Amino acid sequence: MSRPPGNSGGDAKSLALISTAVAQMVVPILVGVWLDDRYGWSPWGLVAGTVLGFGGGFASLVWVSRKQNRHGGTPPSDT
Amino acid sequence: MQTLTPLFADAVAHVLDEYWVSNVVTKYQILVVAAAAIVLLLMIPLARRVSTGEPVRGPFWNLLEAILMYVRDEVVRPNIHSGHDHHTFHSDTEEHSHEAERAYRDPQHYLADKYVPLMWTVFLFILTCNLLGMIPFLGSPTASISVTLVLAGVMFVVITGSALMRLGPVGYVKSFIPVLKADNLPMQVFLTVFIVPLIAVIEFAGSILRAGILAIRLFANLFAGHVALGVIFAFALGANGVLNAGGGVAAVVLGTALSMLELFVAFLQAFVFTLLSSIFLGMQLNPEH
Repeated sequence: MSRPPGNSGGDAKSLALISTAVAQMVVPILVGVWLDDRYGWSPWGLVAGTVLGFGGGFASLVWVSRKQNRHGGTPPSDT
Repeated sequence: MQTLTPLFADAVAHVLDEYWVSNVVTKYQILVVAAAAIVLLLMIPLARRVSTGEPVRGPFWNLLEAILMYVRDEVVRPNIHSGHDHHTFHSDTEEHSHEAERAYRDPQHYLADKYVPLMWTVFLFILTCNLLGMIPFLGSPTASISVTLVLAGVMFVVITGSALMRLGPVGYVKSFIPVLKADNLPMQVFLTVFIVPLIAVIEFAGSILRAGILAIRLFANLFAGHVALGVIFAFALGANGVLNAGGGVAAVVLGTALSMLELFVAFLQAFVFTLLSSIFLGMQLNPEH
């Protein structure tokens, strides 16, 4: 009845990765805007948030995707 | 009609928390405790029946067992795997222990099975909370961001604590730092100086954001569903604020249809929370995958 570990839920794992990636890109920008409003750092909070969010988020997405592709979404065999 | 009119008139008010016992105990506080009690009333008798070693009997207990087996076999076990690490149990000191033997005989399921009771509890608790909202005049505690934040906080503590124990503090920190290789020196310097720190920061933030994703997803689905139901029931009121026949029929038909959808959403969101928790836990425990 049970599927081989790691072979199921590929779509769900992709969904989890995408939602995490979106949050990783958007939240730093929102934090930057909040810092601008709170401490009057405008526009540097927005700039730093955008660099961190888009740059870091995109680089992270590529890194995680390459890791997943390397293992084909499955754990390596025990041998 | 006088007592129901405010319910129809404000689509959001009935989803928000309110005091039930003087100004001390709120509706959701009572319902959360009730949901926990219901889970205990379900799980303890089932565990007693299963512990005898005989198959459970009766349609309800079989249904419950089927649901729990599905969560274990299709949600937790495929997403939390032990990878290579079962070889570590082959050391001389642990070789003859019961745990080491179990890990050796069933390496792929050994790690996942440690988290199955937690995932069962979380699944049943969220499902019960969601279903309480289908009972008129009650509500879903999971439509409150406070409740979902606490649930996500529990998962964050479990995920982080498990990763710290499995990988160690150094391994845990290293799991956020990527190893990037380039063909030439300038690119290697660029990756090491700029990209690696960016990814490390964003990955660490991501481990916290994942808990937020769990909380917001569950809260938003339940909250929006109940507000939509409230809006549809508001159709029953005409422009003058009086109940009318046409709007009443539309409210009943659409309200019934949406209630069926909400029933499905109650199961779906409990499943999604458990599935995402398992995936995030599996990713954190096996960072190399």
